[in-house]
Amino acid sequence: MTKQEQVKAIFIEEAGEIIEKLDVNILRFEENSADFDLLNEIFRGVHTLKGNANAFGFTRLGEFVHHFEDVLDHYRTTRDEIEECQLELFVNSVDVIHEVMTCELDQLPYLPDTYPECLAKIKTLMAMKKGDVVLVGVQETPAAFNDLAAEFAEFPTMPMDMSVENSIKKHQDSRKDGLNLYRIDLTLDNDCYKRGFDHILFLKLLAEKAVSIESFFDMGAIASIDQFSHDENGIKNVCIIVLTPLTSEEIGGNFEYLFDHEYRITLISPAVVAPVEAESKVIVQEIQEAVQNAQKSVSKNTSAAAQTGAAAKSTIRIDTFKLDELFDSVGELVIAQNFIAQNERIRSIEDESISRTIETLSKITKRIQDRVMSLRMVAIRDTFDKMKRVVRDTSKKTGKALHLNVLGEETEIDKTMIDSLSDPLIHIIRNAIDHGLESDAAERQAAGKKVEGNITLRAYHKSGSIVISVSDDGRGINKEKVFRKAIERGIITGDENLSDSQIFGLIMQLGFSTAETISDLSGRGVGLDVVKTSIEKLRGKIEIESVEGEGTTFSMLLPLTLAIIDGMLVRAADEIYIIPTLSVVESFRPEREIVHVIKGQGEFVSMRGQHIPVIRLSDVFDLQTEHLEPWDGILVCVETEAGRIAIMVDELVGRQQVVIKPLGKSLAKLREISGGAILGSGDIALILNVDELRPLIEAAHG
Amino acid sequence: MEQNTTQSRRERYLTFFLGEEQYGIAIDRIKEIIAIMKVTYVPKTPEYMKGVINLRGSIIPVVDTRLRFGMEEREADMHTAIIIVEVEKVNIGFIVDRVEEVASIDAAHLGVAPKFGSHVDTDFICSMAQIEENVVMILDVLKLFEADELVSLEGLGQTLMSEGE
Repeated sequence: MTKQEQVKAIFIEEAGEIIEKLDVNILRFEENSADFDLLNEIFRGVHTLKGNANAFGFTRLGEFVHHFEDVLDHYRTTRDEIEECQLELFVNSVDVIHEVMTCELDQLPYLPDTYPECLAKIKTLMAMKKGDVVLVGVQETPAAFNDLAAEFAEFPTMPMDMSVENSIKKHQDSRKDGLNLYRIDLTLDNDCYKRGFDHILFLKLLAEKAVSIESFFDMGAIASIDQFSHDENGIKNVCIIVLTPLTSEEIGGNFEYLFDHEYRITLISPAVVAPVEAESKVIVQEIQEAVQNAQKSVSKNTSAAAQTGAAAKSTIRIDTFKLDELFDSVGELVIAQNFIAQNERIRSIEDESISRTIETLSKITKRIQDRVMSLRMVAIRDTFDKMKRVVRDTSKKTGKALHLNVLGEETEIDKTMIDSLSDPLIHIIRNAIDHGLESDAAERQAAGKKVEGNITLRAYHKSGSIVISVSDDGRGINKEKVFRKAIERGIITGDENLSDSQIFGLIMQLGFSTAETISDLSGRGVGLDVVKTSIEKLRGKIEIESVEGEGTTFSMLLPLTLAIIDGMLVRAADEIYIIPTLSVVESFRPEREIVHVIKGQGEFVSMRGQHIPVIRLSDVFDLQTEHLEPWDGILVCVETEAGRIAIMVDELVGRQQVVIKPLGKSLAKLREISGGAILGSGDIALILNVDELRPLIEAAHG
Repeated sequence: MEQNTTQSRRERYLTFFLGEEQYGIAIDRIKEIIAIMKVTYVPKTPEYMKGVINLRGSIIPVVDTRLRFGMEEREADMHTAIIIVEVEKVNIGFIVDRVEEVASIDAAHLGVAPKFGSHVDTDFICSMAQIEENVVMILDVLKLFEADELVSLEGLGQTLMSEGE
């Protein structure tokens, strides 16, 4: 990769992030269009995007973003009320940005259809607004910052220090209650443009709430025209005197593009020059308070900046491949450490310092393992934020008014899982809105519910797994209807003894759809089965709960990470196998009476009226072992796609978290085995894919 | 292109024994050679697929080269070794009776592989060479790898079918 390409890659990634953030912010703004801080944030994002896009020759993107920025800037400065249709335009604009970005990346010659339409709308809006705006702008901000030259002309010869002094004096005199006077000294590095800093924009932002503002520029360091470089800052020292009702904390938000050493905010106390004797003490006290407050607010300011500004938060991008390597190495470390800890000869050395060291080693190893694990974990917030958009669009399309509740956004989940989670989640949400919620308000009211439907998105931990659930308070699933339909479609024969959750599970089978009308959103009979497959790929499963008339909950149970599963270790013949604990229902040694042999169909165990096929691991895997009867071994009952099965093993060995490792390409096609794990002893145990285990009917009693 | 240099170009091969026969593998494909270690049996694989080993935290499939070439199986002894071969980041171990040496073989001395007797699979032998008294059969590792991907599938299908009957 050349340097240019590298920089471009960084830009693309950054732009992607900005756009994603825009997506989220614009929706939040749609909910609360009076939130001007949010609008500012959106504006800043768009502004950065514009600079980046133009710098890399993405002119079509740059052009669009430029006009969009103008509109945002207008509303930001004038604080005009934003109408519904304009909000819609904003949301659409973000969509266009999305699409244009894709076109630019793929270097497509054409643009999305919405591009010219949306751009035209923005331009019209801007033209419409422009007339009355300019005046307002000038009135509110007394100094016309657009014309810096005019400002410099005012003090053509006076040295900067003196001008500043004069200005402070002047402002101190006109100081009023509730206003703070600040002196802001900027000592800018010459690369500040690259970080998104812009003198004019900065002053504009600062001036928004200011009563009065004066700025002094030290033009001494500007390079002569032949050496002038447009992307390097020549105006290094700027002094700004601003009279504003804002606290220094509030001002602090403007400095996010700057490094700490580049700016200094000083609160200038009220003039102490003409004190009346009696009042002097009070004033001194006031000054002290002011100083204290200023100190407080400055320290608050820095901490606030650390929380909000991405620039202040120190993060580092790491290739996930490197993380995986690190993860592997730590896995080896854990195994080696276990080996030492379990080694008989080392244990036989009865030396306290050795055993203590080994204990410390195991603690440290565990800690390293945990931390490395946590590196892969990210909060699910971003994914949920994306879902807000899905909910909004689906709500508009279906015309169903609804309220979205989001819980547990902080829940952390493996980064590699997050990417494959969006699509299933989108589908379930659409399904919940389209099918789950009642189609008209009257139906809801008749059922004693509010007209507005509720969709709840929730993430939480439950016994070693992560659960992500989508609930609606709609009409629920009609069990009989599902049952009838499943028979109709030939998915079941009707003879099965199915539990409620198994019946609900039928709606996720291939070719099942109970929707009476097929809509654009869902109900084509494809989808839920795809959802099911993709969740299973993540080694998770879906559970459906539903009460008719009250609503439905889809819960996705996912492992904490893709790399580690909680496994039950079992022994069959002399081999150790691992059954994922997630699928284990129970394990037991059966009574002789409950085991039946059905001729031609193999062995079954009766449990609570259900006949569960017994699968002998030693037969299926052709292991050399003496023939055991089921009541001499252990049956592990597991839930599979095809219903429950009882896996017969010789004994249970234990339960532990294991790191899943692939068996290599040449063995990847083995369906019964999903991978391998290295045990503490260094031995390999194979992980069973229970969904692919089938009884060997002939082999059992052939 | 340069006729003169081809004649004197020497390639290095790792040679090993399976019974009385000597084989060679181009050395740039070989990752390492390890002593025989515990091999975990993997069910539902062709017989020559011996299982998997734990090579410092990575799980690597191991092929019994004797069985692969249609020879008799043999108990492991102190000379039994596993040659780890890497092709495009895929590692496979090959169990051999005894590793002999690294031999430099002049490219000009490599001959075409003759048709063999029935018991050895000749498809994987790309050429032959004479080292002192011995004839060395040079293996085509790529072919071996490709075949294993396909054969393991076919073998699986056959096992299932024969079981179903």
